[in-house]
Amino acid sequence: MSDWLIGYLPLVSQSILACGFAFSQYIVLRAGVFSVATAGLASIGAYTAALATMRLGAPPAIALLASLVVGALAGAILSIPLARLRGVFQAIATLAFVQIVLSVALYIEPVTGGALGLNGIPHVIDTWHLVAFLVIVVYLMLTLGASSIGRAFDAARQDETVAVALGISVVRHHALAFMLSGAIAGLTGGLYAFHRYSIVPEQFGFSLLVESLAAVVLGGRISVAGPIVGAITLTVLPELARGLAEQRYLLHGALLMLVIIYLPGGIVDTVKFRLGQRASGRLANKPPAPGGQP
Amino acid sequence: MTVLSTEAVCKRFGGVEAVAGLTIAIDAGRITGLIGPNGAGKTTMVNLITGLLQATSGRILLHGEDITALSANQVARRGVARTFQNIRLLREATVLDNIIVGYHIREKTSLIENLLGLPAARRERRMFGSWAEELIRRFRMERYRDHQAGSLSYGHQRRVEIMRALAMDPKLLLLDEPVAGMNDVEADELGVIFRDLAGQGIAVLLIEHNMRFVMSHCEQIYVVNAGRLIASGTPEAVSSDPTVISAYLGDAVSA
Repeated sequence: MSDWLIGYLPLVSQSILACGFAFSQYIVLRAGVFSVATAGLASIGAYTAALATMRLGAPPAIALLASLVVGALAGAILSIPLARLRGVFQAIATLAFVQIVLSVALYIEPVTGGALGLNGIPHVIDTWHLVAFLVIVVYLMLTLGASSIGRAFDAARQDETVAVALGISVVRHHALAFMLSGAIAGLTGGLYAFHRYSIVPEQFGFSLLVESLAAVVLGGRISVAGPIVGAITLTVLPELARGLAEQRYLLHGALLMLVIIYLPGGIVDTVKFRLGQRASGRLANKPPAPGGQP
Repeated sequence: MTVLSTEAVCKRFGGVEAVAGLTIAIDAGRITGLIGPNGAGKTTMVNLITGLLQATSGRILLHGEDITALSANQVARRGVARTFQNIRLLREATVLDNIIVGYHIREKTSLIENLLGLPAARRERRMFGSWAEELIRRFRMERYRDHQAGSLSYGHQRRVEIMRALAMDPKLLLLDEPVAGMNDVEADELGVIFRDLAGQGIAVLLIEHNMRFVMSHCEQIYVVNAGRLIASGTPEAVSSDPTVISAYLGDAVSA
């Protein structure tokens, strides 16, 4: 491998971890659940993996499996009290969940190390592990999207009344979406812990929440390529604009606003939709897209 | 054979009694009409039967089983399909995908098979695809197969909705104003299809404003006004009933 490429490996790893969090966010949005619990679920996964290895001496593979299972369980449990909530109320309730996880991680110091977090986590995850992880997740997302689960998710998202009239249990599919979101976030959190040597509660707070959500909004929330494009853009862009590192969040905000205005379905889905319209020969008489593609 | 019967079903919204003790029966193999002026409670009745609304009192029986308290998806699983008065399609999806989602309750493959994309799940998807193509041919919609449902004309969207309902292989089909906004030729095309379905043994409940259509296709008609049954019987009996005439045209003429 050339030196040039090695120099970029940390950025690749960072992008893949961002993709993992973005997919956790993507899967709930696809099912029509406005959950922002990804950051909290990722925290649970990261601490599970780190503690399993450091305190219980579990081998990393077992620790990662535990982070996946515990994440999925946390998602499933979280879905129960939230079953009756919709839209912005789900967002507020899951935001509260993220804050609770953050507080717990801060306050039970003997276990989590408090604000200083856990240090000296064995570094066992390399970039190629992460690449394999991403390939598996993308495969699962593609098969799931084309399967009956994906169809049920799409129906529940677009019109819940139609979904139940077709015999689709919206409650069950929302719970499934929460579980999958938890499994992906938990495992990504575990990989994060084994890749970064240390974790602190703040890493799984509001900024991770915003970044996961922004990746999906930016990239697109229907196509599987959407979260990848969004996550990579948000990870790589600050590196390209090093001089603006201080204004990182300003840059994020501006980018998001431009996308929401000009590409309301996200980059991938809007482009796909417009190509689809062209293909079926129905350009209608809408004016062409404004040229402000960011 | 009675597929669905209701016993003194009531639905109250606050002080308004939208359905006030309706007792009707829908038989297999024929088209039953449910007509009445705007606000008579027809759509409320469909929503009660399908479980979208819960009845305040009374019972709803499907093949003798009490389904009054079941949720909408449980009722659907028992073979009750419907169309909506204000068309509800998955607008972002193609015509084909809109129909395929209707096969949900007939899926046999497991969650894991679908999650991992195993061959059984793929086979099932292909089978549903070919069934959907058959339906599309029957409704003469081949041209629109890959169009986005939201981009179709009103009449075509109605057809997609009916195809989606048929994908469920229903025992009972509830059609909420299926020919609204269609001309007579288009309406009669659908009328032939509805009769065909009834001929296969499906119980069809038709809610409609188009009197000519109801009179020519229904064998049994219930007339409701202000949530109450005011007449029932054959089209001939109902159309000459004085209370029906006054409900539709007002009482002014007492000729």
